[in-house]
Amino acid sequence: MSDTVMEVKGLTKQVSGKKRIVHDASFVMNKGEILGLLGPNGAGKTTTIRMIVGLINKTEGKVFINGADLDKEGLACKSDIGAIVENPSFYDYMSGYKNLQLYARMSKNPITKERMDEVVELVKLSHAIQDKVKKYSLGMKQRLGVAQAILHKPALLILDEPTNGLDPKGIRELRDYLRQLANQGISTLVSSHLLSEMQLMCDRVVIMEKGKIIDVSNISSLSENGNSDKLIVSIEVKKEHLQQTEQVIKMVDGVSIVKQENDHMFILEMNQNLVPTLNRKLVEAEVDVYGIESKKTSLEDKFLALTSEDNVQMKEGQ
Amino acid sequence: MGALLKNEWIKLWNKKQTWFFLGAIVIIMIGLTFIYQSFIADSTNQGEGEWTIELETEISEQEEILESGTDEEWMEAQAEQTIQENEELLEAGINPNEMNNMIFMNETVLSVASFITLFTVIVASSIVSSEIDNGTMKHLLIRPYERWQVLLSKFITVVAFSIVMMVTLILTNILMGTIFFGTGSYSSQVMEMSFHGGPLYTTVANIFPAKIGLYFLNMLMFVIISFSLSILFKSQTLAVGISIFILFSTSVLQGFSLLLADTAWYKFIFLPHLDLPAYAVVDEIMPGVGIGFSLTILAIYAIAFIGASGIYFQKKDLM
Repeated sequence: MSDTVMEVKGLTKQVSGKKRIVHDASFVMNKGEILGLLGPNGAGKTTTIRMIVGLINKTEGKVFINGADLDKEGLACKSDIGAIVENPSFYDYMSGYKNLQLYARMSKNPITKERMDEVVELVKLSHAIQDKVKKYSLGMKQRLGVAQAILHKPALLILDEPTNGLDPKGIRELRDYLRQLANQGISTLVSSHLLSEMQLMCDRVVIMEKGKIIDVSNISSLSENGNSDKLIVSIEVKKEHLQQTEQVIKMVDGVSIVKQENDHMFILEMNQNLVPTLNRKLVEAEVDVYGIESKKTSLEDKFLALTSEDNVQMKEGQ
Repeated sequence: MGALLKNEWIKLWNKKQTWFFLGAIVIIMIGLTFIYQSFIADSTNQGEGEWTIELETEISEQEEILESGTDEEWMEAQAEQTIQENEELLEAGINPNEMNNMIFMNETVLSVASFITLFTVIVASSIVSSEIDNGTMKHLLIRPYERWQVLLSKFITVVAFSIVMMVTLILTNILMGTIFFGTGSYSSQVMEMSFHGGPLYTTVANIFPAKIGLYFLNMLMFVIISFSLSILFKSQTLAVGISIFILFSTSVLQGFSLLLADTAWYKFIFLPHLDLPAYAVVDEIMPGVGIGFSLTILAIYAIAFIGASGIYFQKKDLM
């Protein structure tokens, strides 16, 4: 057995007419990995997830769960998956515990009472588990959703927009919890349109835009600048010294102006070791510097860069 | 599959609505008993043999009307009919006023059973659509079961619900009948009137199982129709509304049966056949249309309904 939990190959969903909601999506998930599915609303994240869990029929493509073909061994594949699709919905006329019992009964492997209690404890619902779900807050429902998804110890957890309706504390708890599961070897696929969350939660992200996967990145390589020599630096100077500043910048080799912002700021691209040089030259030229700041290339920048490239292409195409 | 069935059964009985329906059947049955009792109270508890005298008196009264002659043709016809009926009753030894729990059951069960049909149709049309409506269906379909298994478990649950309702009704009925009218023989003799033919003289034992069985098949057909249609709708309200509309419009449309019976196509649609309990009394509900034909037509429609909705559900995308 390899360490691949899921392999998605050329997944495509075409709806009536020619419109492709998801087009040729391929990616792999490793054991114990938290993979983010990131994209703006309408990018095809939910459709992709629903094709994987079998709620939506795929037009083309293959999904393998632990090496088993979803088309041929659908039930075996589903046994390995636990999921929350969209807002967690429950039978609100029953208690949280009774709801969980229903899902426990549907598992192919028997689930003991101890396991039930363990999961309830884990999602911190012990105090309210005998209450009817209609009394639950959205956060509690979200946690009950996580409970039903992990009850049967799936190898793969799929969460569609799990942070919707969660307060910052709840999001943090979910994050910690997913990390805990990952350490136990459970892989998680999380979708979201919130970049900052993905950055904190995931090991890797798959970026989707208009039904296509446009990039797969490692979070660590994105958030730390260590990998590239080039740095984005913003420099803030006195308004009157703007021209002098520009002259100084042009004198230093290896520094290029990305753009001028407002009337007192430059965004520059440069090597990190050139920052002191530039600073010294500016002081020598008697430019009043208010601030030099190194900007991280965050996932957001990357995301925006990727999607704006796409926008440019769109405009050219028209 | 057993797990799915058990889950559906638990979900059903955790709803207040289900208990409300069950309670309503008991209360309606008790209410009907009181109404029934107040209407016939004066004619029961006659002395032995008095009823024959009463029937004979009625015959001689009607004979007088015939002899004296009357201008109204319908009066003559009615008089003749009454005489004939009374003579047949005398000959068969059936006291038309006799009442006991078995006769009571035979006469009243089906009138309350129409509420069971109504409640069962409501349950049948909401059991799938409600889960699509509030999103829980997604959580069912991502489990390791085929979609048809989910549907089948729900269908069986609805049928089991209707059986529980039927049994509750019959038990309540027997209890009330025994309290108010005393115990009687299961083979008490009864006269059955019907829209399609003359009166039939028989016993409770002969006619009651046929009536209940046919009624149940009839209800099953309504369940199949509303269950199938509800799968097509996302909204629970719409699904229940349409099913109830079909339930009521069926009996209205059956009123047109006499007008349409001669047309070649009419007997091939399912509407006129949804009156199966009539076969307990008559052999044909339309010329040339017997129970075998009706059941065949209904079976074909049932398969079509189940097949179409099943295939639709199997391929449906849950967006």
